[in-house]
Amino acid sequence: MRNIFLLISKDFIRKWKNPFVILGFLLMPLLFTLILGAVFGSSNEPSLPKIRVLAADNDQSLLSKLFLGAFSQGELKELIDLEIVSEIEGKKQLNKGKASALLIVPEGFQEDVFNDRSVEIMLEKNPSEQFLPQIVEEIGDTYTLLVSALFSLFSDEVKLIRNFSGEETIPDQAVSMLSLRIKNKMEGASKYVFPPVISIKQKTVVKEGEEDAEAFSFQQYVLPGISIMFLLFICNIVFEDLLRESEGGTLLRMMVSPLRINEFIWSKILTAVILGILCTYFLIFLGTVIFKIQWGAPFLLFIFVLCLNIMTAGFIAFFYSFVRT
Amino acid sequence: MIKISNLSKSYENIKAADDISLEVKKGEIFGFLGPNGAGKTTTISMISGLLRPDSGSIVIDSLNIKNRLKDIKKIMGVVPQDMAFYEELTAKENLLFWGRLQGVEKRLLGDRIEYYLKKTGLLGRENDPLKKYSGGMKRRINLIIGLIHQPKLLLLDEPTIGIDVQTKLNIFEIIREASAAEVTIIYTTHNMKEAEDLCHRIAIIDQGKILAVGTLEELIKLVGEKDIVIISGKFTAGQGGKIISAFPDSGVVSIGDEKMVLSLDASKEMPTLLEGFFKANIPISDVSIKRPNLESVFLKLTGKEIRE
Repeated sequence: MRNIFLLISKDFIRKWKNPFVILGFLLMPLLFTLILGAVFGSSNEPSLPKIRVLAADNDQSLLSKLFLGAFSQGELKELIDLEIVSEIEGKKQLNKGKASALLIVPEGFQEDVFNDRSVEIMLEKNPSEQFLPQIVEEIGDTYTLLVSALFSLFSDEVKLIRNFSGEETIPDQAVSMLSLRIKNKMEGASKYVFPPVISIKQKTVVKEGEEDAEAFSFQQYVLPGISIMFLLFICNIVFEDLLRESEGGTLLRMMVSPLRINEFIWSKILTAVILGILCTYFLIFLGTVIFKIQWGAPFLLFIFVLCLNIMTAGFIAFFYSFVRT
Repeated sequence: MIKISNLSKSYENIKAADDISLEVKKGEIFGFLGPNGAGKTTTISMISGLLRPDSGSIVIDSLNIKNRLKDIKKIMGVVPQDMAFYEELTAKENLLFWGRLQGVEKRLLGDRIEYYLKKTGLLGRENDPLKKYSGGMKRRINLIIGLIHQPKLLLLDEPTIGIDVQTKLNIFEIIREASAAEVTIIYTTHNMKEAEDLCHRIAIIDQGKILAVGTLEELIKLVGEKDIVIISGKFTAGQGGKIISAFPDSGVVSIGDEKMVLSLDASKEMPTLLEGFFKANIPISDVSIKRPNLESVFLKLTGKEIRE
C-alpha cells in the first residue's frame, strides 16, 4: 500500500507540473456547452412557442364568429395565436409555412347547426411541422365535441332562438322564458357534471430549498454528457503513462526494485479514479457557477461521481490491457 | 557474492547467452566486455531478474534468484543503458521517489541525496527539472538512482555512453568508491579502455559465449608477448596463406580475402613479411600493429575488432 501511495503521489506531482493537457480537457466540455446553449436557446424560454392558427370564416354568421372567437379566449389565448383571414389568403400563408394550421368554417354553418344537420369544419395542417398542427387538431376535436354536446343539450332553445332570427327584436317574454329554460337545464345538468368525479390537479414538484429552480435547463443535460466523454480522455492520459513508462525505461527500473507489477497497475487505476473525481467536481463547480445547474443531493451525487470514475478507469484499463505499444 | 552456472538464453534460433558460468567476489568490479549484440545486456537482465534463463542458475549473496528474487531486489541496484527517470521532475524529486521505492527511510534519504549530489557536482541544481540537465548530468543522476539505497550488488549497463571525459571520470570515481565500500559491481561495456582502467577482472563475451575471464594481466598473457598485426590489401585467402607459410613462428589469428590478422614479433618479422607481399606483387592498403593489450586479446580471441 505504501508503494501504491508513493506511485500515486509521483503521478500527481508529474501531472501538476504539466497541467495544461488536463485543463484543456476540462475546459472543452464547458466550451461545448456554451456553444450548444447559444445555438439551441437558453433555459428561460417556455417549453412550447405560441401556435399560429389561421381561420377562414366563410359563413360570417353569429355562430361562426362565436365558434372561432372561443379560440382566443381563456387558456387557449396563451397557446394559440388566431388570425382571421380569407380562405385563399389562409391557404397561401399555410403553403409558405407561416402558420401551423388553417381552420375553415364552411358557408351555411349556422344554418346547418340550427337545422340539426351535421357540419364539417375543415382543418388544414402545415405538413412541414410535426407537433404543433397535431396540438391544434386535438384542441379542435375537443372543442367541436363540446359545442356539439351543448347544441344537443339546448336543441329546443336553439330552435326557439332560430324562430326569432328573422325579427329585429326578441320579445322580453321570450327572452325570460328562454333564460329560465336554459337556467333549469344548466342546474339539472350541473348535478351530473359538478363537482366532477375525476379531476386533474396540476403541480410542479419542487424540492425543499429549490423553489427557484428553473423548469428546464438545456445545459443541465448537455454538460454532464460531454463531461463524461472528456473524463474518458483524461483517464486515457493516465493510462498512456503505462506505455510511456515502458518506453522510457522507468517501468524496467521499477521492475528491478522491490515493487510488484500489480502495485504499479493499481496505482495507475487509482490515479485515474482520484484524478477523475477531482476533475468531475471541478466541472460540477463550474457548471453550478456558470450555468446555474442543480445537481441534486450531494451524497447521491458523490456516489454517482465515484461510480462514474470507477467505470471510466475500468473501461480504459480494460482497453489498455490489449495495447502493447 | 555472485555465482552463475551454465546460464543459457535463446531468442528463437539466436543464442543470446550460451552456457555462461562465472563467479564474482564481494567488492569486485567485474567487466563484461563485448561488441554490441554480444549478450552483455541479456546476461545482466537475467542477473537482475528481468529475464528468466532457459537453463542454469544464479546465486547472489547466497540467495538463489529462482526463489529469492524479491530479497535479491532489495540488495541490488541497476543502472540501465538508457536514462530511466522522470524528466519533468526535479533531481531531488526523482531521487526521493526512487529512494523511497527502494525502501530507504525518509530521514536517511535527505542526507544521502545531498551526499551524492555533492559527489557528482550537482548540488545546487537539485531543484531543476531533469529535462534542463545536460546529457552528462543526466547520466550522473541515472547512476545515483542505482546507488541511492546503497546496494550490495550494482549492475551497470554501459553507463558512460555519450558523455564527456570529465563526467566519465566522475562516474568512475563513484564506482571505485562503491567498490571500496564492498559493493560488488558488474560493468558492461564495449569500450576496452574503460574496462582496462576500471575493472578488477574482465570477461570477454561474444555471440553469447564467455571466451575468457581474468585480470587484465591474465588476459594479455593469453596473447603472449607477440604483437597483433592486421594487414589489408588486394589478396585472396590462399595468396595470404602462402606468404605466411614462410613465417613458422607467427600465429594466424584469422585469414580471409583482403584481410589477415597475425600474431608475431612485429619488430623482427614485419620487414620480411612485407617484402613477401611486394615480391608476390600484391598491393597492400593498410598495415596496423597492436601492442599486447585488451584490444589485441579480443582480436586474438574473436578474430575481429570489437567495433566490428
